[in-house]
Amino acid sequence: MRDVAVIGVGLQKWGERWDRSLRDLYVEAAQNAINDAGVDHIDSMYIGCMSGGLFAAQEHLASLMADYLGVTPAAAARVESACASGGLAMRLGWMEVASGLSDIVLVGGVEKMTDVTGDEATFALATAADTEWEGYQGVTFPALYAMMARAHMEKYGTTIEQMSHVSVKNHANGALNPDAQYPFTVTLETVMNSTMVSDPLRLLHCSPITDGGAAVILVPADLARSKFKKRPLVTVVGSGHATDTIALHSRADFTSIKATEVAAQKAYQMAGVGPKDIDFAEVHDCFAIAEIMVTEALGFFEKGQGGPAAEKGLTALTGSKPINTSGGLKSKGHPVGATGVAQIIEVTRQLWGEAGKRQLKNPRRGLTQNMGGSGGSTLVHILERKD
Amino acid sequence: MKIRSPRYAREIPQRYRYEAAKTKSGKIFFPPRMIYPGGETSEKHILAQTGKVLTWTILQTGPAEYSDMAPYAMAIVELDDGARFTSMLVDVDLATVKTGMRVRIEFRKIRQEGHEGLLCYGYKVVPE
Repeated sequence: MRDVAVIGVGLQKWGERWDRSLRDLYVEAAQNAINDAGVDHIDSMYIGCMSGGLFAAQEHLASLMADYLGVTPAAAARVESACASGGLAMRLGWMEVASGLSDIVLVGGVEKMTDVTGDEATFALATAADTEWEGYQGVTFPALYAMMARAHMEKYGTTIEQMSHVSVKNHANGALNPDAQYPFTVTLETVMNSTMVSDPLRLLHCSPITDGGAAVILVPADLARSKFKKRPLVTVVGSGHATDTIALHSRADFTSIKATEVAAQKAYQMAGVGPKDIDFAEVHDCFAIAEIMVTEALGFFEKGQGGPAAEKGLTALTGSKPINTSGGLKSKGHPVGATGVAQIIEVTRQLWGEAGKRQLKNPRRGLTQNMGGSGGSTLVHILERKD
Repeated sequence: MKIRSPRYAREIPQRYRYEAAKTKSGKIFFPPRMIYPGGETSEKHILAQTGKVLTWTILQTGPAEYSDMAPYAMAIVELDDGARFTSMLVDVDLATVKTGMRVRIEFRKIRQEGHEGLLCYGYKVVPE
């Protein structure tokens, strides 16, 4: 397999983008990535999108996006793994370049979520759970994560206050990210007194619905070294992918995310590193409890120590293991198909030294973790600066 | 946008008769599956009627067709035979819901498709 480098990134301001359609969001991000990389063509592209059908009554994104990006007849594929669709697009684009099948691959993700009502968006997202045996009973995603939160609280003593610290920290980071949907800080008191959504989760423990796109350009590391030398070389050193049961109730333990544990082990093994060797990470904080459980599943903290770690500030920008320097899904926004690709962008920018006011001091190795549903699928990638 | 009532729904006996499958090694699958891990064979198993709450939440807002019922409690339940499923927990004072509470499974209307549409049935749990 060939080493694969990220040489260009692109997104736009995320939020309620009533001035952008589904195709506009994708094309704008993709064009920004193409311009950023300075490539004159692409061989193929992958489009992560959870539900063009339910959110925008549009399928067949392979043709639509190739057409409107002006790259036909380049190969294109829309891929779906619920909220991990963007991470899956990254995995497939990486495989295509690593295998030698293509040299220049565009990996993108997009979701247009605000053209439907809140009820309809809740329904569309709920299709990432088991529609017949969870959704039919009246469950929502906040409810599934609320049940995981309760189990975690009762088993490990995790507190509402600890979960609230995750939201406060991610908003503090997002306030430094001009592309974030909600680039403002919130106080612990505001989070803890926000509207109850699904006990014990309150509104400010939940990521928002968002319109947005994201894209990166992948090429073989050799090509990056010879032709695209304007920045430090950043390559993918590990990729892991795993699944778990679709329904939360089918799992032996509601307090851990096994697909993330397995995907992380695969990625660590490929990279020849362990959790201690990761300088920072972008993780899937669809709910505050998810960030706590994921930081445990990745091996950053012992089981049950994710909450105390957040409370002590270990995951803050200035902490020993900064998590979600971009603001995470909570503050940056969560256009589900784009999220996994945007995580790659944040890690790449940090490694390039182009993360602006939220720049970490000389990071060398970053990790992304993107998951679908209540943890039924997970993609983990590890990126490294090679100079 | 709503959860469809596929025509086969009335052919799903698990929604009406609590039918599960028990594999040779004793694991209960609810609903039954086409295939089982390790290629195990299975036989029909009628679910235990009582069990306990493993974890729970109270929703202040639900999906479109359920939002009129809010606030309501949802729980992951383990029956006395080990079967697990997700269910609404009804006929309960929401302030008294807790992990470990004993519940009984009941045949209930889940939702209706508008004033004159299909009535959709299934199971919910109530305090034992």
